[in-house]
Amino acid sequence: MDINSAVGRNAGLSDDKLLGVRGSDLSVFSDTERLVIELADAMADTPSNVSDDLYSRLRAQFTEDQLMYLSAQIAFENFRARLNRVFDMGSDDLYHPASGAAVPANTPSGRDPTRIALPFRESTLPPTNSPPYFCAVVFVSTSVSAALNASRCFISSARISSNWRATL
Amino acid sequence: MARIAPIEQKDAPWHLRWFYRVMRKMFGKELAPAKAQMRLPGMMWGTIAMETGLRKRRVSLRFVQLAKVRTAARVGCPF
Repeated sequence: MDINSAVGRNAGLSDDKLLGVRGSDLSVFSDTERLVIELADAMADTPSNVSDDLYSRLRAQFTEDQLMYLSAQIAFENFRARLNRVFDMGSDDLYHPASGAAVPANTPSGRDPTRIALPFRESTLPPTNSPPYFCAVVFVSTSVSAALNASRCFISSARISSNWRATL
Repeated sequence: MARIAPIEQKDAPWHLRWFYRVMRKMFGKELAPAKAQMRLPGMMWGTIAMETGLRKRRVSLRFVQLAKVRTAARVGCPF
């Protein structure tokens, strides 16, 4: 909830909504927002039953691509949240409601904890056709890893070959 | 207090140490779950790949974050 609330605030969600979404009173949300919350609830349940009715209402608001994207994000959040529960991960104090906000001790001085400088604020998203930083890092790391594996394979095959020759 | 000790940057796999700098730049601190997950570098790379794959937004970030906060609340994750 912590980091997602902080990112949500940067995306323009109010404290009322960020706090309200944790409870059962959903009157502050729009119809589409309630629909998204209903999907998150259905996916968090076990067994995860998304009814035909809910799916048709979602399809009325979102395209198939959008629904796949939203479901993937929720499924990924389920993965992270459940993994954190095993190890009893605590909050990192990234989100504080605007009223009564206090700077945590481990927050760099001068940084407003209610406005974390996240690079993916929606209004400043980079053009989608620009190569993302992560992609470049993943590509470089994968290339280095592949090169290392190839060299290991080469060394192993050379050893096998020399051993085979020695047996002749 | 988490049940698992975090992996500090100097002890992390060399190919993932850059991620600590990214966390500090993005959030002003190193995130405890990510530091714990450094035990499984393959999983960390998978997580990074998933985040990268979902970087191109098809739905408003407001909807996505609402769903994520709701999911975390339902599962009981405070992070």
